[in-house]
Amino acid sequence: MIRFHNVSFSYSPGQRWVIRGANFAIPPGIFCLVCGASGSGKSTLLRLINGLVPHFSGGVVEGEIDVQGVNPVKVGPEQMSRQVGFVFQDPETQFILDRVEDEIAFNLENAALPPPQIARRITDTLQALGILHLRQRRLESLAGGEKQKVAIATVLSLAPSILVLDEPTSQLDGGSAEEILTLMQNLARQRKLTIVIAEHRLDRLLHFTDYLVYLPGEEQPPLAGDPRQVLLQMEFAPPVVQLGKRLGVQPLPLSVAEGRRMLWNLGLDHLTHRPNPSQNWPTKGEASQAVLSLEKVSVVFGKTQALSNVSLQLYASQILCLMGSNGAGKTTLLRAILGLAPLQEGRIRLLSEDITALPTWKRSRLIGYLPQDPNALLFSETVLQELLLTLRNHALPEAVEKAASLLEKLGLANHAERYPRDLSVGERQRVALGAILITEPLVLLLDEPTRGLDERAKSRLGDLLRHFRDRGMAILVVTHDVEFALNLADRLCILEHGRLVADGAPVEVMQASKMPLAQIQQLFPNQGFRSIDEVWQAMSEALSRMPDKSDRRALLVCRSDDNRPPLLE
Amino acid sequence: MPEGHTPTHFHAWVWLTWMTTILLCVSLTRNPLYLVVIWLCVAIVHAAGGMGELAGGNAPFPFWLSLMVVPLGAIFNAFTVHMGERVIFIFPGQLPLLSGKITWEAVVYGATNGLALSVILLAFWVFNRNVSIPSFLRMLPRAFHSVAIVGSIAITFVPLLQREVQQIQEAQAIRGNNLSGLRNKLALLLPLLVSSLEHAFQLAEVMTARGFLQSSAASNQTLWRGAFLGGFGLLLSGWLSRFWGLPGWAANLLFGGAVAIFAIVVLATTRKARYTVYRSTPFRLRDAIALSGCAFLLSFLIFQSFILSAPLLAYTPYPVLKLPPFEPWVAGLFLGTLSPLLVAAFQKHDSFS
Repeated sequence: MIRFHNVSFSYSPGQRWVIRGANFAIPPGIFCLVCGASGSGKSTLLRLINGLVPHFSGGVVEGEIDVQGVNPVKVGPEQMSRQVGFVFQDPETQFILDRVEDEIAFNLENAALPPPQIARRITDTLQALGILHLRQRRLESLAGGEKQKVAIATVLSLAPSILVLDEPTSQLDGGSAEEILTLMQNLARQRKLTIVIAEHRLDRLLHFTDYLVYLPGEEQPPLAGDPRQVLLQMEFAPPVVQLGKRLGVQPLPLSVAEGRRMLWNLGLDHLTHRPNPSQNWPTKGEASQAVLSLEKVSVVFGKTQALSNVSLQLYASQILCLMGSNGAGKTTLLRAILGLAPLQEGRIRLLSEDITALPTWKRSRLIGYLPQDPNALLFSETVLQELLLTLRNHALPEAVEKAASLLEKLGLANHAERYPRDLSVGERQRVALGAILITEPLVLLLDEPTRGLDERAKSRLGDLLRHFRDRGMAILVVTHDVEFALNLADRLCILEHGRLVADGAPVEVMQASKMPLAQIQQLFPNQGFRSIDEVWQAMSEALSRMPDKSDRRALLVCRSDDNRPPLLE
Repeated sequence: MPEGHTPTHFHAWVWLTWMTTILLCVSLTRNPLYLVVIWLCVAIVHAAGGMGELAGGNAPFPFWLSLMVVPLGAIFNAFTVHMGERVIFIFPGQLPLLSGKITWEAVVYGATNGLALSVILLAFWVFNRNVSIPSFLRMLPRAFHSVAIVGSIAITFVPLLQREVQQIQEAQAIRGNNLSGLRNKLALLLPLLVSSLEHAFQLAEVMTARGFLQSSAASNQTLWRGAFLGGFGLLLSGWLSRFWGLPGWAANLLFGGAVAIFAIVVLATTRKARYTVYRSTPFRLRDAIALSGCAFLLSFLIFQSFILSAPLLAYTPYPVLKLPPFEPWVAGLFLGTLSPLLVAAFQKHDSFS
C-alpha cells in the first residue's frame, strides 16, 4: 500500500507547491497510472515514493507518506531501494556496465547475495521479462525496447514489491510500448507487484490502468481513484474516452474494445464517413516542383544497412509524417538530409541544386532540423539571444525585430529575456524551433517532436506546424505518435528496415500498414475519420438526415444497456 | 561458454602485469631507440587484438594522436628548456621562458618524452580494450570496492562524454556554426559542462535509487576514515622529520607506523565490506605463462635499476647530442611484453595441428 496523507511538497521554502494536498492510497498489486501536464509534478510524486525527493533534491515536505509501513522521507532512498524499484526515463543513462548479465549482477553483488542466488535471480528475472536470450548481449547492441526491458530487469532482480517507472514508453514505438506495458500488467498480476507509471500517452496506458492519479497542476490537489471517475474531471483524454464523454456514456470506455461495445450499444457502430481527399497531396505534374529530393539514398553504419535506396520528395506547403518501428532508419534519414550521416550512395537536391557535398552548417541555412532532444540546441543566456545566435552563425544581420516577431508567433514573447533551459519542456522545444526557423528555411525536419509533451503542448505544436505549412514550408515529421500523425499529416510515409515501404494519404497508408492504428481508426475501421470532431460531425449529419425525431432517438438508444436520456437533445 | 570468456582471452591479472611492465619500462628509459622498440611491441599487441574480454578488442587506436604528441613534445621542450650545445637558433628578446637558445638536444629530449607519452597512451588503450569493468573491479581488494566503483563510473563517463561532444558539435552545425575558429570551438565548452553535470546528476540519482553501498554506509566508516587520516599524518611527519633534523630511525619508525595503520584499515574494512562476486574468471595455465613473460621483464628491470642501480637503460641528449646506446639483448628483453600475443599464437597453432 502506498498512502499519501495531506502531502504537499515544494522544492524551496516559500516557493510554489509542486504537489499540494495529495490524499490517496494506491492498493497493493495493481497497475497505477500517474498523469498530468508537463510540470504538474509527476516525476516529483514518483520520487516521493522512494525518497529521492526530498533526500536527493532537497525541498520541504508536509504531511505523511506511508510506503509498505515505512515513511520514505524519514528513511531515505537507500533504505527504500529494498522495496521500491525505480526505472528512469532514459535507460541509457542508467547503465553502468557493458553487458546485460553483468549489469543485473552488479546490483545483486552490491546487495551481497551469494553467487548461486545471483545466477538464479538473473535467470528468473530475464525469464519473467521474456529476454533470457539477451543475457550475454552487450548493452550497446540492444534496440530501444530491449534496453528498457533490461533497465526494468536490473531493478526487478532486487525483488521489490513496488516498481516505479518514469515515462518508460516515451522513446518506444507503439508495438514495443504495448509489449512493455503488457509485461508490467502481467507482473502486477502474477507477482502481486504494485506498478506505478507516469506517462503522457494515455491512449497507450488507460486500458491497463486499475488506479489513476491525475495531477492538475497550478497547486490543485491531485485527483485519484477509479480511472473512469477521474477521467470525467480531466480536460484531456484519449479519443475513445473523449467520444464517451461527448456521448454522455457512463461508465466511460477506456479501451478500443470498450469503445466498440459502446458504439454498438448506441447503434453507431456503422457510422459512415466520406473523407475529403488530402488537399496538399501533389499531382504527378507537380513532381518537378519538389523542394527537397532524395534520390536512391543509402547509408551504411559498419555492417548495418541503415537506409537502402530511399527516394523521397518533399513539397512546399505540405506536412509529411514519417513513421516506422524503432531502428527502421527514420532518424538516420533526417541526419542524412542534414549531412550528419554520410551517404553510401545517392544524391540529395534542394530546389534542384545538388547539396550532397555541402557541409551541415551550410545546409542548415535552408533546412531546419529539430532533434529529439531540443535541449541540445540551446546554448545562449536568453531566449532572444538564442535566435540571434543562429543569425550570427550564418553571418546574417541581427534582426531583433524579426526575432521578436517570431517569438510572438511561437508564444514566447514574454520569455524573451529568460534563460532557455529554465523553461518547460514545450517552451524549450519552441525556443529551439525559433532558433532554427529564424533563417526562414525552406524545409523543416522534426525528430519525435511530441516526446515528453503533454496534450496541450502537442496541440500547440500541431497548430504551429500548420501555420508554417500554410506559409509555404515543406515539413517532415518523424514520429511514433499515431494520433498526432493522423491529425497533422498531409501525407504519410512508412520506413521499415531502411526501406520506404509506403507513401500516400495518411488514412490509407495507416490502414494498409501493420503498425498500430490510431484509436479513431480502430473504432471506425476503413471510414477515414481523423479526429473526434470529424466523428461528431458525421454523427450530427446522420441524425439530421433522419426525418422523424423518434426514429433518431430509437436508433441511438435501442441497443443501449441503460435507460439514459436520448442523445443530442 | 558465455560470450566474453572464450579460450583466446587472458585473465585481467595478465593485462595488469603487462600494463605495469610497460609503464615501468617507459619510466626507466629516455633512450629513443628502446622507446621505439617498446612502442612497436605495444602496437603489435594492439594490432593482434581479440585477446581480451571485450568484443571491441581490436578497435583502432587513433595513431594521429601519437604523431601529434611527438612533435608537440619537441616544440614545447625546445622553447622552454634552453640547454644543450648544438644551437639551432636564438629566440630573440627578453620574453620569460621563451627567449634564449633553441637547441637540438632540447628538441630530441622533448620528442623522446612525446614518444614515451605515446607509448603510455597506446598501452592504456590496449588495456582498456582487453579488460572489462567487472573484471577490473574484481581485481581490487574489497576494502577499495566503493572507491573502485566510483572510479569505474568515471571510466564509463569517458565514452558518454565523447558522445556528448559529438552531439554538441552536431547541434552547433545545425545552428550554422562551422566550428572553424578557436572562438567557435570554445562554444562547445559551456554546453559540454552543463550536459556533463546533468549526466553526473542523473547517474548519482540512479545509484542512490538502486541503494548502492547501503550496507557499507551502515558500517563504521568514521573510525576507519579517522585511522586513514592518522596514517597519512604519520607519513607526512616521517617526511618532514628529515627537515627537522631528527635521526633516520625516527623517520623510519613514523613510516613503519603509517604502513601498519594502512594495513590494519585495509584488512578491517575488507572484512567488513559486504558484497559478493558473481562470476570470477578462472586463472589458467596459459594466463600463468603469459603473465610470467611480463613478470620476468618486470623483475629484471626492478632488480637492475633499483637494486643494482645499473645505468643499463639510461640516456640523455644533454649536454651534447650523441647517438643513444643500443644493446640488442636489452631490446630483446622488451619482447617479453609480447608474451600474451606469443601464448595466444602458440595455442592457436597447437589447436590447429
